[in-house]
Amino acid sequence: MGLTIALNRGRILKECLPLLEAAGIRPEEDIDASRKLVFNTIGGEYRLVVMRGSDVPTYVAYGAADVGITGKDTLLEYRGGGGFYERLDLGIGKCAIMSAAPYGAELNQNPLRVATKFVNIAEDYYASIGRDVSIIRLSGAMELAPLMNLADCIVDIVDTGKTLKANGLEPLETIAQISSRLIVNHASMKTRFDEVQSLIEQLRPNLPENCSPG
Amino acid sequence: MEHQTWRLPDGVDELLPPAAWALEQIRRTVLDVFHHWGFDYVEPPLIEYLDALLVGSGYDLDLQTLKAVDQRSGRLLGVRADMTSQVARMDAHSLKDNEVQRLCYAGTVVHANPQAVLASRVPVKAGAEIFGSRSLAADAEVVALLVEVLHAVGVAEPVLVLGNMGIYHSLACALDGALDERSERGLFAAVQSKSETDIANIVGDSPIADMLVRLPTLMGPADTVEDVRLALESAPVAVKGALDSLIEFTEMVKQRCPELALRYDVAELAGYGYHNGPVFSAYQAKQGRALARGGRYDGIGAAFGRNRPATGFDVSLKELLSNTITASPTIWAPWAEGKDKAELLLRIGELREGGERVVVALSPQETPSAICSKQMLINDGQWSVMDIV
Repeated sequence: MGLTIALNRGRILKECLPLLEAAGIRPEEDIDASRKLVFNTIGGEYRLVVMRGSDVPTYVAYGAADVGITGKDTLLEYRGGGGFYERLDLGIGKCAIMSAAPYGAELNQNPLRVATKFVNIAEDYYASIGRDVSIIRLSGAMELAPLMNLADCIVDIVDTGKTLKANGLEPLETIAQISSRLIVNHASMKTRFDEVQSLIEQLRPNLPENCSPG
Repeated sequence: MEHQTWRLPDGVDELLPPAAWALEQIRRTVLDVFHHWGFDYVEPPLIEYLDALLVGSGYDLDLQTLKAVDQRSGRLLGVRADMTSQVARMDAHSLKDNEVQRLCYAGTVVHANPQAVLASRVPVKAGAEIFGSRSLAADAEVVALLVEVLHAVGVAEPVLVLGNMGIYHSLACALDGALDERSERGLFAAVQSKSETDIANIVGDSPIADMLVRLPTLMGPADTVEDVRLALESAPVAVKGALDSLIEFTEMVKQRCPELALRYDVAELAGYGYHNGPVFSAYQAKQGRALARGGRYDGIGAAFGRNRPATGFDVSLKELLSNTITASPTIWAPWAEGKDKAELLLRIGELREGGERVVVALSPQETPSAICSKQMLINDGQWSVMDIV
C-alpha cells in the first residue's frame, strides 16, 4: 500500500489540499462534504486520514501514519518524545504564538498567572526568560481569562490580532513563529525513503516562497 | 474510589504466555550470537550511583533516569536507563586490561518517561560493545554482529542507517560566533528532527550555516554516499575527515553485509549524547521505531580512570517480539494409576529428554489445557502420542 498521510482537519486542511493537488494528490471524494475519516486518492498512491491537529504527531510518531501535516504549534506542544522528522515547512497556516495582556497592564506579579492551552510552550518560554509563572490550562477563549481576573496574561495563537483587540488585550512578546510542517515517521523515512522523498520533491516546487531552504 | 491494586504504572508492562517465553527465547538467541562472536557476558547492576550512570551523556539520559536516595550513603542512586556507561565502567575500572575487550549484556532498563507512543518504560535491552580499538574495523564488526542478531531473531529485511556524529559536530564548531548552550541544544534538536527551517532560524546566514541547513537532505542509499562530498565541498578539514570516515565505514559494512539494505544519513544523530564518531541504527518496515542504535563513544572511560576507545550498540528486545510469537507445541499426559502410571512417567521422561514439552494431569478430572496440541493415550499397556482432535 502507498503512504498514509495524516491531515489536520480545519483551516490547515483547507490550505494544504491545493498544495497536495498541485503535487497530483487528490482525494476520491470531497473531504469537507464527507463524514468519513479515511480517504483514498485518485490513482490510489496515497491514503489520507483526517484528524485533530494535536493527534497528528501521535499517529506519525507511532507509525500509524507515515507522513503528517500539522502546525508547528502542535509540534512544539507535543511531548511524546519525537519519533518523527520535520522534513518540510509548507509555509501555510502562518501565525504566531504570543503573550498578550489587557492594555497597559503592569505585569510585575510574582508568580505571573498565565492562561493558555499551550502549557508546554508557555512553561518553556517563561523558564527561558527566568520568570516565575503559574500556568492555568484552558481549552479555548483564552482572552476571557484576564477579563475575569482568572489570569494576568495569556499565551495564544495570534493570526490577525482582531480577537485580542476586541477584548481589550494587546499582544506583547512573540514566542514562536508558526507555520504548517510536513512530518515523517522515523522508520518510514528510512524504510520507504524513495516514496517519502518523491512526495517531498512533488510538494516542494509549489510551496509559497521563503519556505524550506535547500 | 476503591484502590485498584492490580493496576500497573503508566507505560509499565508485564508479559504473559506465550510472549514472555518468546522474549526469553529472543534473549537466548541474541546472547548465543554474541557468545559465538567472542563477546564476554557481563551483568551490570540494576542500580548505581547516579553520577556514574550519567557519565558523558546529555540532558536526555538524566531526564530518563529514575532516581532515589541511597539510605546508606546519602548519595543519589539511579536505576539504569541505559547500560552502556555501566559496561564502559567495567572495562575502564574493573577489567583493567589493555587488550581489546569484547563485552555483551542483556537486561531490563527503566525509563522515567516512555520514549515514544506506547513504548514500554521497562524495555529489555541486549547490547555488545568493543573497547580498546580505534579502528573502523571495530565499528564494522559490531554492525555485522547487529545484522546477524537481527537475522537470527527473524527480522527478514532490516534497513541499516549509517552516519557520523563528527560531521555535525565539526560543522557546528566551525560556525562563526559560538552558540550559547540553549541555542546549541536547539540546533542539535533541529538537526535531529531534520527541520531545515528551524536550523536556518538558529544558525543565520554564512557558508557553514548553509551546509548545516543542507544536512537533513544528505541521506540516501549507500551507493550514493559519494554525492555528499560534492555537497560539503567547501567544508572545513575536520568535516571532510569525518565524511571520509563515513564513506569508508559504509564501504566496509557493504563488504561485510552485501545483501543488506544500507543507507547513509549525515544528520543521523544518535540517542543519549555520548556518541562522537560513526553511528548507526536499524529499522524494519511497518515498525515506527528503531530496533537498535549504536555507534562510537571514545573517551567515556576517562571518567572511570581509563580513556578507552569504544563502540557498540544495543537492541530493544521487546520491539522484536512481533516477529516471533508462536506457542510452543505441548503434549498432554492424562492421570494414570498403578502400573500404567509407572509406564507413563517413564515415557514422559524419555519425551522430555528428547526435547518435548509435556504437561502432566494433577487429577483424574483435569482435561487437556488449551496449549496442548497432542496427548498421550494408552493402548494395550503402551503409551503413545496422538494429535488432539
